[in-house]
Amino acid sequence: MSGLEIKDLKVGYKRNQVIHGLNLHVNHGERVALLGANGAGKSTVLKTISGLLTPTEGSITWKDDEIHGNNPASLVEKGVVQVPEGRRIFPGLNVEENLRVANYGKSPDLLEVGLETAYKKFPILEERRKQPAGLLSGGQQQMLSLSRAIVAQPKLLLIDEMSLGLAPLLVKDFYEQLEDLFSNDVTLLIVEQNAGLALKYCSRFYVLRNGDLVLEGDAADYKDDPTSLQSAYLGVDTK
Amino acid sequence: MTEYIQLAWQGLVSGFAYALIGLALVMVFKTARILNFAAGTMAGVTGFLAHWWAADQGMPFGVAIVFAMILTAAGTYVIERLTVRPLVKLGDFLPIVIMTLGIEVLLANVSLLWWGGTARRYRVPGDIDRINWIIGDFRLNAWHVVVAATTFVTLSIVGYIINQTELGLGMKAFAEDQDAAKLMGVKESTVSIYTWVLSALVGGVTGIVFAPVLFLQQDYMNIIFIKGFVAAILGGFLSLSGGVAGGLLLGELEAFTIKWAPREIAAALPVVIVFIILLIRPHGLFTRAKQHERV
Repeated sequence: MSGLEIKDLKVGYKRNQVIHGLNLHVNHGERVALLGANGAGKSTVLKTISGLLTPTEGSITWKDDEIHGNNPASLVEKGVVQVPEGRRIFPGLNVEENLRVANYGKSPDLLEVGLETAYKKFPILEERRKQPAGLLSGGQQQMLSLSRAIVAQPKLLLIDEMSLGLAPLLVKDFYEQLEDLFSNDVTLLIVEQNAGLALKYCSRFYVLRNGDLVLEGDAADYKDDPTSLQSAYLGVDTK
Repeated sequence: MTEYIQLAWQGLVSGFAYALIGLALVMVFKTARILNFAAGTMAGVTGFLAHWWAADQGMPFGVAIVFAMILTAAGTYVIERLTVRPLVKLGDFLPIVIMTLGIEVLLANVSLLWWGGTARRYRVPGDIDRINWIIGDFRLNAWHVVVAATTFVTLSIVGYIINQTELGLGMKAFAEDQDAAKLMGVKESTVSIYTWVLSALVGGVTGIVFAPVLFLQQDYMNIIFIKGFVAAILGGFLSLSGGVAGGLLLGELEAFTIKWAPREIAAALPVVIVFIILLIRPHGLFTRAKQHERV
């Protein structure tokens, strides 16, 4: 079955083009990393897939269904879920309300299942379920952000820079947990700056630089020496 | 002693009006980040419609109220879809605010044409507004009791919608972080339309119950709008309960300055006090300076 397919994608903000014709695909159930330095355009790609941005040219298809230009809410209905950069929890809502938002417009039965799974995985969230999410620690906020994705029951999960602002040990932990949190049926596209982490977890990768694809390959080839990717990141020969 | 109770009660009654309009303003600002300058005039049109239907067209008072509220909801729906939504898509704040000013001018002139410029006092069924109970030295107007009860019911309904329904959850999420809320499946256009309609209905209730308190003139809600605005600022403009509390506080300030200050400056004094409060707490009395962020 076909998964996510991006063809000749061009995206920009106002007159500023950021992505200049991207081609990328993620097969059903596959885990793929989108790597690159700060400002390379990774987040822009994710925001376009999840419907926050509209491409100026090109197409995005998910399971043979053209999804570019759809609004985020209708994409969520189709199972396209994004874990946004910087966690973006709702600080003024309590922990449980944050999770209930992730079930917005869906049946309450699904919410019960989702809550149970999330609380089982992260018991601290259940303990603090009535507290404002803004009072959680950074790591706990990331747990909440992932738990929202659990509740949303994604088919295509887009994770934006989970490592941002978290202690490296904690990040490693989260990547390991992704394994059990989402079944093999969930297609994953992970945006990450930290190539070493992402390569351990994904089967393939793409490297984006200044809005252009500069490298793609199998994670296995670079797993042991992720630093060799640096030249692709930065556009300079580091050797 | 009774004198103070009397003043406090009067302050509370006018405070209800400021609180409700403050709430209507904060609601739209908080979720949609739009300042609705037409809120007062919209509320006035609702009040006019209800009392005009009841007094001049012979419609039963209750039916007139229901009709006025339905028309308000429908009208607000059209206003939001036709004028606000297309501008939201362009993404700039100022054009929308100017658009609401335009709506204000339009509605004000239409009602001026329709009802004329002379002030008049519409009758309330059973002349409730002329019933006064005297308890010792304390004078209690029956309509003011109706105003208090209506305010209480309105606030309870709004509170229920915000805190207990999925729509309210979406509104809160949207107010906190629009993009994140969209990514969770909250539809922007749905939240926006319901917020506008709810806000207009709160305003409409205010317009209807306060018409018999004030002389009904084409622009009778303007002064309440301005004070509701001050109430919203006092509450920090981002807190619903803050807007309500700000309104009540402003009402009390007014009532007591009339007692102690010379008449000439009594009207301006509450605003001066609000300025002083804002100098000390620029972010209002009821919101924190900045959401505490943890990394």
